[in-house]
Amino acid sequence: MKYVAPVIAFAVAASMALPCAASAPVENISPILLDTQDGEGTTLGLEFEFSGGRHFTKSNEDPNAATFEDIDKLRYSGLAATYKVSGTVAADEDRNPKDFINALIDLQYKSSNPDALGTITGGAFLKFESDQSFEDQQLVYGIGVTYGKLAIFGDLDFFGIDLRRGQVDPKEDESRQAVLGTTSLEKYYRNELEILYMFPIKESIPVIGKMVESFEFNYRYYQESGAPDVIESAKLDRFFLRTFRLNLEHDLFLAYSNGKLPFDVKEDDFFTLGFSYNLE
Amino acid sequence: MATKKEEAVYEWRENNACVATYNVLEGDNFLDQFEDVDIPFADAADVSMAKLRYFPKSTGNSSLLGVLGNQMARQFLKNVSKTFTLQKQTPGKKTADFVEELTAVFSNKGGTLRNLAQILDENVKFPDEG
Repeated sequence: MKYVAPVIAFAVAASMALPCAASAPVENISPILLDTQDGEGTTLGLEFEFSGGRHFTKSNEDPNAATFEDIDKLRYSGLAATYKVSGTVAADEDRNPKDFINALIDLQYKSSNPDALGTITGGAFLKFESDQSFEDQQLVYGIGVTYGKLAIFGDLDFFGIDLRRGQVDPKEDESRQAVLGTTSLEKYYRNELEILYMFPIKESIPVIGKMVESFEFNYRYYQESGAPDVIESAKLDRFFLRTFRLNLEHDLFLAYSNGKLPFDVKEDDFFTLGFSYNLE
Repeated sequence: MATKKEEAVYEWRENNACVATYNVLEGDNFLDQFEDVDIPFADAADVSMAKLRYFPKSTGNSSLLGVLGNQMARQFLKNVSKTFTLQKQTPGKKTADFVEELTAVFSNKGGTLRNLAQILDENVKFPDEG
């Protein structure tokens, strides 16, 4: 894995220079309201996202046909290079339960299918994440595979799973420094799992659907490989965050999250009732 | 000195591309992503993907959004093809690339109905285009 990071960076840079299809760059900034239920009220914040990329494809169709291929028969694969920088800035940095910055560059192989195979992507990535104080920040690189499929139990419900394994550079992870008794931290490998399931209630259950538009379940799990005993004892080798969310009408939502993400040293349950909108 | 040329904003109007985009996303028998009483056609151009029911609010995982966006792009095009024959605007253009262009919009919370209509218009030769 020693040369993975420069290889990924070179491959992405090379793909960006190739004369293949480019995706339109994205720039978003949205205000949010966070309540961590610590008795100190709420804090305002901003979510941001910038992204873009390039790709090329190979399919089972006849490109010289006068009409586009029947989607129910179309299978294709391709290679895509993408970048994304996103995060959350809170007015009070100590009460920001989310990543301040999350930057990702990705080189992905994709297979898109009309049947149960759904959409599968696999490839390599480079990711940088940090909390708002920059006290805890990490550079991660490694491999990942993602699967997603619409219409599992209904017409438009969605199941997706994302698996990753990569190296973590703990840099200034203060909680880890305290447990290990050193400021010189060694890199380690971490496995990541994220599951997303969404069910469109509006479409499926008309009575409830007058108020509730959809339900979401999101689960994230992080496990350190071969963690030292003291890290295991301090429960710093495994993290999870699960979120249940009901998306209501008029942009209101009710969400409950339990658990913690890596580098967020405070055990935290945050409960949110509010609204969301984008500045466009 | 060369200057960057500004891209013209695609005009949201009652042509086949915009109406098909709106009807497929709004229609109860299609993707049912919003209600026409909440978002009438005239106000729909800059409605973002984040406002639609399919778009997750609990995660920003770009890999998951990517596969979800691809599945939605396929569903969108499948539903458009129920109303229109998808005649190619550009000979030799691959359906896979067409789907990938739509995927980029569906995967992006800032993508809009205007973006989808523009991609449809650029790729499909509709009957109102002669």
